[in-house]
Amino acid sequence: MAQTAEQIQRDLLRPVLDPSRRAKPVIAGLALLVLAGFSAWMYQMYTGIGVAGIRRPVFWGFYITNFVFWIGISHAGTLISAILRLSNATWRRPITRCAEVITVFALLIGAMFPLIHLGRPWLAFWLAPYPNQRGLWPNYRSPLLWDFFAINTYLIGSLIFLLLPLIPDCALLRDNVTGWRNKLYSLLSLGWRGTQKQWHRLEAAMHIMAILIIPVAVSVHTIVSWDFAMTPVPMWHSTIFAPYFVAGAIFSGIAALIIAMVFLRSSLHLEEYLRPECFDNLGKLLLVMSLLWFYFLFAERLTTWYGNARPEIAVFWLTQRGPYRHLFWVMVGCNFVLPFPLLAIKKLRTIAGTFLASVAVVIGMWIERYLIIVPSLSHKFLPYAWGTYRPTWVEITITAATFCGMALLYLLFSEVVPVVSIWELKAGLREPVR
Amino acid sequence: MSHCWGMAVDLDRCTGCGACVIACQAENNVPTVGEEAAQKSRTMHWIRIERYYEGEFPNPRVRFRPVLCQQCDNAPCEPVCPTYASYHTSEGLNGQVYNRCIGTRYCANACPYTVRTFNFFNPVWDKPLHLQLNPEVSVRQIGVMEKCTFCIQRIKASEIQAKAENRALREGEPVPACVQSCPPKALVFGDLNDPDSEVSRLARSPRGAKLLSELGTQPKITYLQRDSWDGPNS
Amino acid sequence: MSSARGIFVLCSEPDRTERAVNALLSAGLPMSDIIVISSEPLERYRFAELKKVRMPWLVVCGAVLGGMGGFLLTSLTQKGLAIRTGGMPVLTLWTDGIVTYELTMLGAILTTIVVFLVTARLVFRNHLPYDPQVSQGKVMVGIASAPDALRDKIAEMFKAIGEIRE
Repeated sequence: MAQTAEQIQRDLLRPVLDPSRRAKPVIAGLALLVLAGFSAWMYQMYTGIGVAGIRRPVFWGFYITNFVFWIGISHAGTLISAILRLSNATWRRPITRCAEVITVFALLIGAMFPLIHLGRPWLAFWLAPYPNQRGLWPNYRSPLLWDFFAINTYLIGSLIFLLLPLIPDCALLRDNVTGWRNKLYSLLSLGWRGTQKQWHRLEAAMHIMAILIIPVAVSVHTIVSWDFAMTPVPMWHSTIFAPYFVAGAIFSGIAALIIAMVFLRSSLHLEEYLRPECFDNLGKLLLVMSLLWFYFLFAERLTTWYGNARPEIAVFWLTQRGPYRHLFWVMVGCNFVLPFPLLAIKKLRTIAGTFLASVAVVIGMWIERYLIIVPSLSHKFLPYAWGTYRPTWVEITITAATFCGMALLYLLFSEVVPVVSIWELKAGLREPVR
Repeated sequence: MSHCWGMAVDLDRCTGCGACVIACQAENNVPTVGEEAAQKSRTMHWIRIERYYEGEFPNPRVRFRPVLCQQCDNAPCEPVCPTYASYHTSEGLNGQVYNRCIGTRYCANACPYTVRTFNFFNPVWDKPLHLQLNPEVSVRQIGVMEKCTFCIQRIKASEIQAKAENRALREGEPVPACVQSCPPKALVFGDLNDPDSEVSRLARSPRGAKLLSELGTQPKITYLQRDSWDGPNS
Repeated sequence: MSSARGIFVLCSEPDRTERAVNALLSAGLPMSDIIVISSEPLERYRFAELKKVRMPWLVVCGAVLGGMGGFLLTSLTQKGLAIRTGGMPVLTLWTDGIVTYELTMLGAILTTIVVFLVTARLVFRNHLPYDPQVSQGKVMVGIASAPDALRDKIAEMFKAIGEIRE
């Protein structure tokens, strides 16, 4: 890298100190769409959960699909950033923060969906263990309780993981702004001075957090998979689910990270920082995960087909030849057939190539979550009770709004703090290039 | 001695008339959802008559199977409920406490028999059905799960009556609404802890089998039939 | 505090920083008293050497506490349940293990942040001097408190290096 410390600081503070005016209409548009989603949710709250398309026997639909999808996206950040930090990969420096932010926002969005999907969302706090006048503690045998604990732990952990390395950059901003913004950044920087002792403690704390966050991240998606695997539903009750979900989560997470980086790169003019080699390296990771995903899919499908158990094979053929076959093959195309050549051939593994592959993967992984949930529920054991599912406009609006919400939060974040860690880049200047 | 309520369903007797469905609906304040919701398969029946067709024209045959909550001893619906809305009572029933339910619908997904129904909206009754609500049974709010209780209100009433008269429960008491209304007497209800009760006798019958017994849910309902029946396709 | 004020110098280049540190060392000050404030970690330099942190051990303690809390929460509350379960198990070690695991990790994470905030002197105690020029790449070197006699001696040496801040 040819930059100097001054250059880095100037380039990366610019989006915060002098935000582009072009972002304003985008922010307004996104906010409007988020508001539409919020209105749809309020409408559902007022009228009843029945305005969603769920029915007997498909009691879980779009909302739980979104829940699993967003929790999966949240694995982008923290996990990738932690692994790259621990393996001390030099190319991690510009991308760790972009990744960590995805985690926090995707988790917030994902954690909303269990609330949205509840029949009586105003009673959701009954999941929390606290002494209450009902004289009842929650049922720790329920995977939903595990979710409650796992997601809260992960949210707190990833928030700390994001905020810790943000402290020095907030101190930097504090010294560069005046007025109320100075007060805000003073507060956020927690009185950071920059003594060598503080730097040392910060790096030690980051190292420990990176170690801690990996098992937490793995456990979160494991537990999300157990929401399904603990029930005797055909194709759900499977031991492969935990690793399958974790791999899928990392897979979609990397894809989301690449998409976010492409937008940041062009909108904030970070071409010098989010360089092609970052995309190349992430592309290789995405390729590995694509192969791993296909391996899991094949293992799951083959065992089911070979086992030929009647309830399971009914669901199997439903997705293979039945009404879900189009979605199934789109999923395979998006998650494997399209990304594989794009990511495997060096010439195609450009920024555009990885971006295209990532968009496909995000779409494919959303479909994958849908195909895990809906066909199994619609074809349980007694054929007389088989059913279908069709989402309503309420579910579709809320789903679309969460994607807009993610973009909105990300955009606002990039205008409040530098989305590439300044001090880590500066520290990287003295590092021998590997 | 405590009771263990169970049922026997004699498929050789069932005519598929649907009297049990109507009786249950009336007894338990089960809402009628209307045509539109029914098309969306949001009916609330606690008991349903499953119809399976076999054979080709000109010799078609239809089989009936009344399916209600199997009151499993090892129920998949119970452990997954985060708030103990679905729990095991001391008489072995799968209790459903409406006030505890927050509507995760997890129990309904876990139930292999798909017998749990959900209040997608607040219940309404077409006039004049609203005048015949059973005062013994609570009406369920929007967003809660419900299912067959084996007419717990009748069980409790009989137990209280017997206690007041200082006697044991007699055979044929209590009687759930579906059993009471079954014209061919295909449904038999009783105490499985009493080896001499009719339901215990039928549960030991060589004609008897449990629904989806391979799942290990240990249902308390025994289905009786003379010839083997291995699903709709065989 | 009154008599023993601190003295600092703003250095603009790495070798000046080194000189300032050496000056303080030659004045007989121990390395642990010398404060170097910078806008980036200077770990490549000798003066950044610090004694080891005991953070991992504290974090392990926090994890144990969190785990114990989790196990006690699940086991005690379940035993205290006034619910009849018809002979079904309520206390199940397998699933309690999951909650215990998550709270172990939560304990470790919260300990990490608390230990960091306390040992890095953030939020709680902070009266070190500071100069916004540090964010422009300058490095502040000095000591937090010095007797007057020593201060004059140090000021003399610092004059040649850069701007002095007190």
